Amino acid sequence: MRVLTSAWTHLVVALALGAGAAALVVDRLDEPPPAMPPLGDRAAALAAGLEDDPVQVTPDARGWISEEDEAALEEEIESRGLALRVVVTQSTESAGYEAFRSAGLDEQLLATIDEPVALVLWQGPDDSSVRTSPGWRFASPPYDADWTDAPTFLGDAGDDLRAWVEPLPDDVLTPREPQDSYGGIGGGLTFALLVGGLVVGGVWVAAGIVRAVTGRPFVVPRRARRSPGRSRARPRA
Amino acid sequence: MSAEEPPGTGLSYPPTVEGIAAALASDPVLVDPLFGNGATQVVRAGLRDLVDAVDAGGTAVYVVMVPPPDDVLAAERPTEDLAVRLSSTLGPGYYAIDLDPVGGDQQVVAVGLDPEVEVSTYRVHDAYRDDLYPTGEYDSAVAPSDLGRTAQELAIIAGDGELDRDSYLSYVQDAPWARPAPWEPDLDPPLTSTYVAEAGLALVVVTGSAWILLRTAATWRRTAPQRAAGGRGGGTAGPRGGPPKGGGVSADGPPGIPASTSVADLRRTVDRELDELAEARAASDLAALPAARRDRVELGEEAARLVLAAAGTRADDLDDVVGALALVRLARFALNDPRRDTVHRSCFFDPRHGRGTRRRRIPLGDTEVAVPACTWCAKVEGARLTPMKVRRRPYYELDTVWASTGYGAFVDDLEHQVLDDLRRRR
Repeated sequence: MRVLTSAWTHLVVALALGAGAAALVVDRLDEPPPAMPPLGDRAAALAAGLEDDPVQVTPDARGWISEEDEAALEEEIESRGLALRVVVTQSTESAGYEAFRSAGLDEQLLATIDEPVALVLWQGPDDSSVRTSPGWRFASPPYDADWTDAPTFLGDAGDDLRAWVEPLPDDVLTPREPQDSYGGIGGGLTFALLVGGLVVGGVWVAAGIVRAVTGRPFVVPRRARRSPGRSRARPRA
Repeated sequence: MSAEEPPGTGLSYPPTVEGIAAALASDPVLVDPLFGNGATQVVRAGLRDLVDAVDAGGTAVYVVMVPPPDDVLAAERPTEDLAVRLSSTLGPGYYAIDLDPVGGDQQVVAVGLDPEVEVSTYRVHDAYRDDLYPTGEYDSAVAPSDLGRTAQELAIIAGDGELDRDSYLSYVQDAPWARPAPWEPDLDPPLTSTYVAEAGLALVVVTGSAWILLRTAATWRRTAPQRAAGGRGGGTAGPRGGPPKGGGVSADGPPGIPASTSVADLRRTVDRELDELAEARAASDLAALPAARRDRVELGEEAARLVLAAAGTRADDLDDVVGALALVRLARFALNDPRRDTVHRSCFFDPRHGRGTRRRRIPLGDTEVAVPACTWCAKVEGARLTPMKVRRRPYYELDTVWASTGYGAFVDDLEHQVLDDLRRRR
């Protein structure tokens, strides 16, 4: 049964286990992201409206922006051909999407719109956001002390929304390179070796501690590594 | 399903208390899509069924789920304020009101009802609380939506204070009452570097850990604490990892006197065996023995006494005391075993193990020699052999008579060589 205790056998078994673990990880990375749940009635109505009208105001939000201001905003966006959509609505947790967590209205709408756009979701004076379709970045206008990342206004929503849109560059979207958090293949390799080495070192220390507390040497002695069967006694007769 | 009122076509609810009361008079369920859980029509139908069920008991129910009306409501308890104002037009009944679509303000208010008729929902809520929150703590991830909460309470009222568990939970978990399912929007697809980093990490960690564990397991027995670790401080301390087992033959250790026996104890053993030898010798007829064996008995005993007398009880005296032991046993063997003319040979690796009845081949320079060994040393794996150590070295590496004779392993005249050595050193 020496083959069972041979270092070569162990090397092969360990490599096979490691390759299996790597294959599992690859398998998980290849899993498609979960599909979007069906849109609720409110989100579906907004998505349908956005198809031919870049500004949508739900009736419950009409108090914030008049129909004239809405039309002026539409004109501004359409005349410049901005890839921008604006939704003015009341915030709700009770309409089939979550206001504060993922599965929010803006993400559902962005996933529904075919072309890459920036979506302004205005849900009140202190609740507005700009999100872009995946793979794109929102292009801010040149520096302006009065301009903010997302429209926040305490005055007239119609005026202020237009004031926020006007300085935007014509290309409000720039392609976003996927974030490479590992810094390339070399970086990924370095990460794997560095962190993996640290973990394996920890396992080695833990195994050594277990050996030590059971009365064994911390490091497996060289003579114990080879297969048993040979005496090392050296008498000096 | 399509929305009943697409955005842009006007409000789905009247913005005044008066208007709300008028709307309720024709339809007791007033739910704006802001409160519709994404399926406003289904919700309205479900709520109408519940309202009808309560109505059948003779009590009116009105459901109001709209943003706050333009009229100023009481800053504290606006839902109750609205219920009371509506009741001035609609009369007594239950008013299920939610004015905050972001959540938390849902309430079923009983207005103008006889306390005898009013149904309490607390008992049912309490009964199923543990089913809702298995951990015992409120958990927003499994809590009912505001809409589901309203439906639960109307169902309890319709059941006159009763509701079975499954129905209760269905208002939490089933469409259209349940909260929206969480959804992680699709992220960027993983890059090559992500594959390299994460699969590489798994490979390194699992391969390395498996290797370490396999090697540890494979060498586990071979590196077991050595019970017969002779020479360590004269063996006064037990080996690490547990107290020494009792002397004698052990299934997993050498036979004979344990290596942990102190030199002083070993001396007492030798003394006792010397006394026994002397008694046995006195009781036997030495003259009947062949001359060579008679010499061996007498010289062995003498050499043992001399060696013992010269030795102390320090750890460094171990090899001498063991030598005395080997000599006593050699003499005793010569006295007691008259059938054969064989010489007693101790276990080469550690004479404390007893007689070397077997042989074991060991490397010696470029060749191998067979040395006597006890049953354990003869068959144990090489790595587990524990030659007796003195001053931290195997005794046979020292410059002593014990090293050159192997306690009789290599020579037939141990007693002579020991006596010669004593004479030389004197």
